[in-house]
Amino acid sequence: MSGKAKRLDKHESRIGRILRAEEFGVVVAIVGVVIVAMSLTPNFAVGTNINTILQQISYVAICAAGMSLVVICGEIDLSIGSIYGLGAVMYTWLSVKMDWPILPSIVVTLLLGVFLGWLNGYVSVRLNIPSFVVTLAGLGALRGATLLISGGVPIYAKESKTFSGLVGGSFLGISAQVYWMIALCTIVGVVLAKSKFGSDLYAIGGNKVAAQNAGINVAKVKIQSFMLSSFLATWAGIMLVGWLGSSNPLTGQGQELLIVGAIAVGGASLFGGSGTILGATLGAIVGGLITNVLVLVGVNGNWTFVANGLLILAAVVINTLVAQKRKTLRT
Amino acid sequence: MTTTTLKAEGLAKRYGGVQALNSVDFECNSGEVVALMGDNGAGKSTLIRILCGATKPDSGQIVIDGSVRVINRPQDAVENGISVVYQDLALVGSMDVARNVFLGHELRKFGFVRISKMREEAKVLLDQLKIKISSTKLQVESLSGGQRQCIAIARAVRLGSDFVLLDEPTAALGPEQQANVLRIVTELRDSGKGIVIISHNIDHVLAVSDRIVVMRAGQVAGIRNTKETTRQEIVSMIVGDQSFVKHNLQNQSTELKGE
Ligand SMILES: Nc1ncnc2c1ncn2[C@@H]1O[C@H](COP(=O)(O)OP(=O)(O)O)[C@@H](O)[C@H]1O
Ligand SMILES: [Mg+2]
Repeated sequence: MSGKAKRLDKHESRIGRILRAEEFGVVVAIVGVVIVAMSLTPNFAVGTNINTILQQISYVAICAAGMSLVVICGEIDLSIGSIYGLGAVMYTWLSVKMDWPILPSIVVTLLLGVFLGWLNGYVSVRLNIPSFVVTLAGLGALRGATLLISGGVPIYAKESKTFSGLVGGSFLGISAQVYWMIALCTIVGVVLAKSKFGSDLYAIGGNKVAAQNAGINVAKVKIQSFMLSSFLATWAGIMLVGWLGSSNPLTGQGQELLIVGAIAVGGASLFGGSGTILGATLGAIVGGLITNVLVLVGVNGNWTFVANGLLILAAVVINTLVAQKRKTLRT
Repeated sequence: MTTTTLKAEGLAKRYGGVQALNSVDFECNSGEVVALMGDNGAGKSTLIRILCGATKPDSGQIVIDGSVRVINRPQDAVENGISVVYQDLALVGSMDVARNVFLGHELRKFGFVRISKMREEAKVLLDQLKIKISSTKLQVESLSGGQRQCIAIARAVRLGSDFVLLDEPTAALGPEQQANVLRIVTELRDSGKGIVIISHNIDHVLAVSDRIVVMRAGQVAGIRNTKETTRQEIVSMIVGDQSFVKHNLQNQSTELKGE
């Protein structure tokens, strides 16, 4: 191959790599929404507004990072929004109603979250019941439990400057939640991309039988993904309390849709085997941008639900078409 | 090179009303290719699945170099030097060539998967086996059936097994790709591995095998050294003698009606 041809080839493969990157679609979506937003509302691009958007979506992004692990190995956790809400309420219940110190309240709440993830995973995987059924039951049951624990009313959080500063303060003009989101999403992203566990998740979601034949402990890895996902959602719930100063028994209602939306918009297949944490995080940002634009434009807030539903549908349709196209191009 | 022997003794396996295997004895030495032949349903795949730990026999045992080995899971088989190349159940299409070669046995350092090291080693391995794939970064689902089969074989080779079991590795491949797979089989044999290969293609079997084991209705119908047999003899062993053929046809037609 001549030097020039080689260079061309390299050049093309770089463009090809960008086009083929799983995050390509979501980046296009972000650019598109931003352009629309800037033309509709002149004050959109102001720094504080961007910080506000990132702060608002940080909870969804953290949950989406965790649930990406579950989705990539071919499962789903629809109880994620209820676990997030239970995390918030359980933490205030322990620290306020039981009058426990803050740290043990956090630890015990996190342990409860991990246990619920294990339970979801165990029932789905070991008893071989589709996880969407198991976690749909969890969605209802855990919301009920949250309402019962809280008595159906908000609980004011125990005051702690340290804790609320850590999870709700700001540094260099950027909110603490944004740092948490970046840190947690990076950790989960690195685990997924670089660890044996991450590799196993992709293998299981891509071809479960092949993974099994290669000696991967499919059940164990799947259950671990549920536990991690649940852990992160619980922590996000606790973080929310530190910022708002209270817990609400309806916290996280409908959040599972935003999370699934972020993951799908981020380019993951909801059938497993593909997806990245960067994609899911960017997907959460797309959702946040759309909500923000709708608010700035001043339409009825309920339109955000419609927008999010349509967004999920569009993402899934596009992902499916792209996957089919890729397959036919290759063979 | 010392010879290692993989033996199965008195294997039996029943699926509901079907006696898939009925006291089967089987043997494969390192440095030889043993071909398993027989009609559909003869029990060939069941035998292979038991040898590689995917299926538990009702009775019988697996013996390597004179000692009984407990093989309850695929992992046990790998630890005993047995690996298997499945028809299409070995690879993850959405992952790249290198990751598939190392699937389940990734190279690691400080807990991190060493993807570039795996790519290098996979490349070396594929070159050794003369498998032509332009890049180890390619997703497996973009490759041809023959290339995929070769990657599955490369993976079994990488595990360093003494015995490699192949269940119909040339089925659904084009002639050129079939030749490629058969070439790799002979090369592995020459490098001292014991190979068990299931095939319906008598030409392939006569070309690459040292011994032919014919199975019929869950039993070993006969064993021949490839050099000392003929195509006719093998075919008649596969279908059984005339009266057996007739009997079998009747059985099949009633079975078909039942389905
Ligand atoms: N998992 C299974 N469940 C039920 N029956 C099976 C199973 N596997 C094999 N069999 C039966 O056992 C017999 C032997 O099958 P198999 O070993 O696959 O034959 P071959 O590979 O020689 O075509 C067949 O009658 C088949 O239907
Ligand atoms: Mg078979």
